[in-house]
Amino acid sequence: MKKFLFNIILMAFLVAGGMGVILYIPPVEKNFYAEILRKYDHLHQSGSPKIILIGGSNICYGVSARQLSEYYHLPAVNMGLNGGLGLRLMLSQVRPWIGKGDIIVISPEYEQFLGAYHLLDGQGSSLAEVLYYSPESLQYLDSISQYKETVKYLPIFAQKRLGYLVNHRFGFRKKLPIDKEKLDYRQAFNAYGDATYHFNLPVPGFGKGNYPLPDNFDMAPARLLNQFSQEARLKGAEVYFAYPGYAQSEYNKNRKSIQHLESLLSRELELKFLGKPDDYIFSDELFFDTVYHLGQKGTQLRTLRLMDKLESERGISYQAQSANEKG
Amino acid sequence: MLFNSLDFLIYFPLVTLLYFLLPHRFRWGMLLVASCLFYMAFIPVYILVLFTTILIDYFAGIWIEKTAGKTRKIWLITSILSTCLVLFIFKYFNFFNANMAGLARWLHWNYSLEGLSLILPIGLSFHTFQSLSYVIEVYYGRQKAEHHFGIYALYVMFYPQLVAGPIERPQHMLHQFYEKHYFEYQRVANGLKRMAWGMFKKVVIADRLAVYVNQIYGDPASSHGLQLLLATFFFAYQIYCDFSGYSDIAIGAAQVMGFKLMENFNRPYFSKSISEFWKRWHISLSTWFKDYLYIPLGGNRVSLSRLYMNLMITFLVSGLWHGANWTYVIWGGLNGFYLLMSLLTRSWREKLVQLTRLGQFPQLHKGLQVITTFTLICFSWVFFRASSLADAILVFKRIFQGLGEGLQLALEGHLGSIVHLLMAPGVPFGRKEYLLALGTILLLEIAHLAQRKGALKWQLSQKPVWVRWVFYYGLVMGVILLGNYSMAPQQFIYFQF
Repeated sequence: MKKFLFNIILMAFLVAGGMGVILYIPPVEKNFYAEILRKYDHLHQSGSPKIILIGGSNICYGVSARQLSEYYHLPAVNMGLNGGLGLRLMLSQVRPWIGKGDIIVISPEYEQFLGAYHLLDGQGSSLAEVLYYSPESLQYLDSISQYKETVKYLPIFAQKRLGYLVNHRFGFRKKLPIDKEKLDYRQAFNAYGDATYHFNLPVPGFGKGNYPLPDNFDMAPARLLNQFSQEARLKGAEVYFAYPGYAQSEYNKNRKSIQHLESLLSRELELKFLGKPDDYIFSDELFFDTVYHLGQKGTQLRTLRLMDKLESERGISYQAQSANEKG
Repeated sequence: MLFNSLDFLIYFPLVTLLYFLLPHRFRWGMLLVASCLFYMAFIPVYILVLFTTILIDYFAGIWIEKTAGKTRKIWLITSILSTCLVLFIFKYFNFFNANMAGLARWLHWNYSLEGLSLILPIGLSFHTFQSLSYVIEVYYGRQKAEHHFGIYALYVMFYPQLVAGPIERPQHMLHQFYEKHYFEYQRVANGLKRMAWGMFKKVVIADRLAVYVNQIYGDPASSHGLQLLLATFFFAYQIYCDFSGYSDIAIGAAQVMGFKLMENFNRPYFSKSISEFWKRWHISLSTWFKDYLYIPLGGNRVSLSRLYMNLMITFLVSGLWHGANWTYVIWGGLNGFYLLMSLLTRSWREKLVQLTRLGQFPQLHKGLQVITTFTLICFSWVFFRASSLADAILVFKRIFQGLGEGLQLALEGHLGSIVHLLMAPGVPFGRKEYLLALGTILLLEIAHLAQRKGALKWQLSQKPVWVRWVFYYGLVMGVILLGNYSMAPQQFIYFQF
């Protein structure tokens, strides 16, 4: 038995060591997901009150934290990165850093509410990438499913990394077209966490009709949002829910499902709503490469609309509020 | 729960640990609960279907043993019919119904029976056959009826072989549940090595080839004949690695706990004839059909015409066992036809060998026999893999067209054009994937060749310790780094049967 245990443990160590070498041998390509490090830094260093934007890529490709920060004269952090991280992680990585007076806007993609997509706990591909660059994110994982998804993805991740190393070492790598997954994060985002690299790129467009949205929504994410909102309000923060920016043509196709989700959420969600889904529908030309990713003009428009809704929901503009406080 | 899933990676060590920690008298109960949980991971409510057949066959076994004469036979028939009825309802009813409807239309009859929308319980054909072998063996007096209900249930449900065999016999299996198994280093280590080898076959070879085969066979109309030819070759290895990989994991998992399951494969693609192939492929099913269908029909102790009929019946039923579709029936029939032809042409072939003096070059003769058998088997796999008869015919048409074009290109020296064709846009494999697919197939066959000198594990045990470690470390890292992992683990092909 002793010999068996020794051999099994030795083999496990050797395998883990082999994987470690493959994953961490230089050069480590700091891709799009490495931005999480700067987002964390920004979030941890910004005192309250501050604005926190939570969501998937629709947030980093669709709301300008910089615009919000400049308008409200508050620090603003765009925490959006990828919907595959799952709503659970998106919320738990922000939770410890909420303070009094914070304004939190949560805008998940519609797919986050589709049980069949299993997005609540995240997808292994996104979770593994984020954990790779930021092992501290482990502390934000709070469901077994998140660990399972990550572990399941590890072999694929190691294979991708091995492929990268081989290509890099032997110079097989061809010059690739702009690919956000391979783009160095420092070129992709501004200091607020907004994706900006694509503003001056030709628009590839999104595959129209490739975004069917079934209507079998699951309300587990809504319950998680309610719980999060309750905790945040206890800390003195304001929590708002906004629908994601979405392309007109796809909205026309998925209108029924989206309206069904809206009626479910208006019944289930205890958060304040910043408008309705159609408030954030923009013409197709304003989108970059997916139905959720806006270009520069679209981002400005959506941010302005968000600010409008925020002000009418709060009943007072921040500038007026500060003037009152000073007075 | 699939063997190639993370769940099983956690489940198996836990169950094994519990098995060895528990006193012997509690082990069967724990294994039964573990087997139930394993089965319920697919569709929980189907455990009731399984439980019903277990209950019927358990009591049937006891009554068959207690009674004599006609009553005994009635119990046997009741048991067989009730077990087969479940199989018929879930697996064959819709097929039967659709064919009846087609026949009725042709005869202008009025027939309007609704089809059933039932999902096939996983591994139904396997545990049905295992249950049948029990009652038949008890009937013939070759096996005593099992009076311990839990042990009998475990015989049907033992989780390593529950969903895709090997289909065991009561004489070989039942007594093992009473035996006390100790933790023996060498046996446990060998079991784990066998599981690792099975995983390699499944995730590295079969799942990679599946990508190519699924796409090309998914749309044969838009695929070139040479791509279909290659897809058929790949399918031969996909199905072998998928099923023998599963069997290796099942046998290895049972071995770790101290159980010995029967072997299911013996390097089948090295067979020199079709009859040899069926002695080496899915051995537990082939022997089942031999023992419970072919021999009761009279086997080979009958007239020649009757022998041919017995062979054809056995192969047609074997085809139908695989699936409720005419493609499977034809696949079985084709293999039966091969066997008949090999019997009928034996003397001619012997004369041809004499005439060509092939007998003087035994290696060449053997090589030709192996290639011929493999080609014939690949030909039959087209029916097995195609979605419909029409697709299978289309595949053949395109393969022969493609072969003609390929031959012409080769004769004109345009070999590059053939390579270009196989790498055309839309083909799921690039250079790297082709290299990996062909490389791992080659590796598999090298391993098979090496097995001629004895089991690989035995050969490796003669090597220095560092060689063994490098080999097994390479195997585990190969599974991780060369496996084809989609987000959801790929189901084993034979699970659907």
